Amino acid sequence: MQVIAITSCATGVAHTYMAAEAIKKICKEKNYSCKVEMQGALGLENKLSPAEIENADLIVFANDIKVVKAERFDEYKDKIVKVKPHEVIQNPEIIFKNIVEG
Amino acid sequence: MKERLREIQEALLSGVSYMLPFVISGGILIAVGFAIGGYNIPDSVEKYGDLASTSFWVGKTAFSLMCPVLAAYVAYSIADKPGISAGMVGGLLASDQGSGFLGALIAGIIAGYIVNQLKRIPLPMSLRSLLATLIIPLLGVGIMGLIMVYIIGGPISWLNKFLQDFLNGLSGSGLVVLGIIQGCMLAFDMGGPCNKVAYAFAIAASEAGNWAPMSANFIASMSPPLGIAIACMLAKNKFTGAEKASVPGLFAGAFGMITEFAIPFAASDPFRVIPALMAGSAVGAVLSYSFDLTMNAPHGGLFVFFLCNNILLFLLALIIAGFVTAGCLILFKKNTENEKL
Repeated sequence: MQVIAITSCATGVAHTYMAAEAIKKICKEKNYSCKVEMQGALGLENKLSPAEIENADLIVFANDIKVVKAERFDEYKDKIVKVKPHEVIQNPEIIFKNIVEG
Repeated sequence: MKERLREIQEALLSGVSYMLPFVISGGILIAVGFAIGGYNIPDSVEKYGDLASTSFWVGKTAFSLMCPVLAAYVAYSIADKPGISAGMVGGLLASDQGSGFLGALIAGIIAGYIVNQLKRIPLPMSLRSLLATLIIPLLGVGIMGLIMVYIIGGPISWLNKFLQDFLNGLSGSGLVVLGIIQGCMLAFDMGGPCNKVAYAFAIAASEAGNWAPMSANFIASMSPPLGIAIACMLAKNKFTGAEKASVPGLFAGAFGMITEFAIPFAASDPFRVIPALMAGSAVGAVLSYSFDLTMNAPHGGLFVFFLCNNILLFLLALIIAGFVTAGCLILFKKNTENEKL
């Protein structure tokens, strides 16, 4: 499974990156491929390409603040799961809440 | 309704997020101007007359963008790009009218929803382009202006003044309660949304010229990582190897005022760690008020310590807060059973 994610928080220095680490870690444990775009205080880092967005099976939005360039995901709304960064840090499994294990 | 509240919360945090660089740069440049040129720099030297005056006025310019930028990005979060113009104008009107941070926040929310309604105006396809280029900007800013000037500007300015007077008039037990609330909120989610609301309160007070809440904010934000670091060094059997290895990082977090460094500890044992952090931060904030400390910078931790009115008492309050946090942690936490690999 291919997982992509966008993380952001108000200050953009800590929750953004910790949530990104948590998502990468849980994906690695499950052997899923994973790329995380961090929308921190420095702007977009590790930006997702259109192909990556198109091929993703699961799109995780872990944001306290508005997602930048959210129109990139307009066509894939049914794949998006929205959570809060601190929820992901505490319980990374939450990103799979809408998916039946198979 | 719940969805709407979530939307407004996200808008508030987005606005604060975009506003912070202005507040931080502006606040520190103003303070540097004061530090070099003395406290009557705005009057004693001609504008841009020397380096201190320039630093002061450049900082002042950045700081004055706080309300417009806050309102613009609150509206942006609700209504995307077309929200920015109505929000920014509303925010500038709010600061002109004296309703400040609070007025700007409300202006941003109203601007966002006005623009969202304007987007729904039914128009034939041939006129659609007019909606984005002419109708939304004109009606958005126009309606926003009417609302600010004739309806909410006055009452919010009054409320803002009332809250400022209330805050400035607080003494004794009132300040203790304020310190406890502030400290608990700042430590509760360590840089998360609840923390940012308390931080926004301190910024709002500083915008009105009261820098005492900011000092409490500094100490309460710095003590969680500091307290954990102290606890790690004092009670080695209560923390895992990985946790103890992060002590230097924790000190960096404490000195830089980045409460988030405490999160990994809280995440692994929230019901014991978070109350301990809240206790230490509450004590720190209360001490800051009782020592009459002020901090003339909106962020920066120990790196801007020279902007505090009493550095020794500031450090004393911080150290006491750190030790209260550490003491509670050692008391609440159990010994680690087996060293995790």
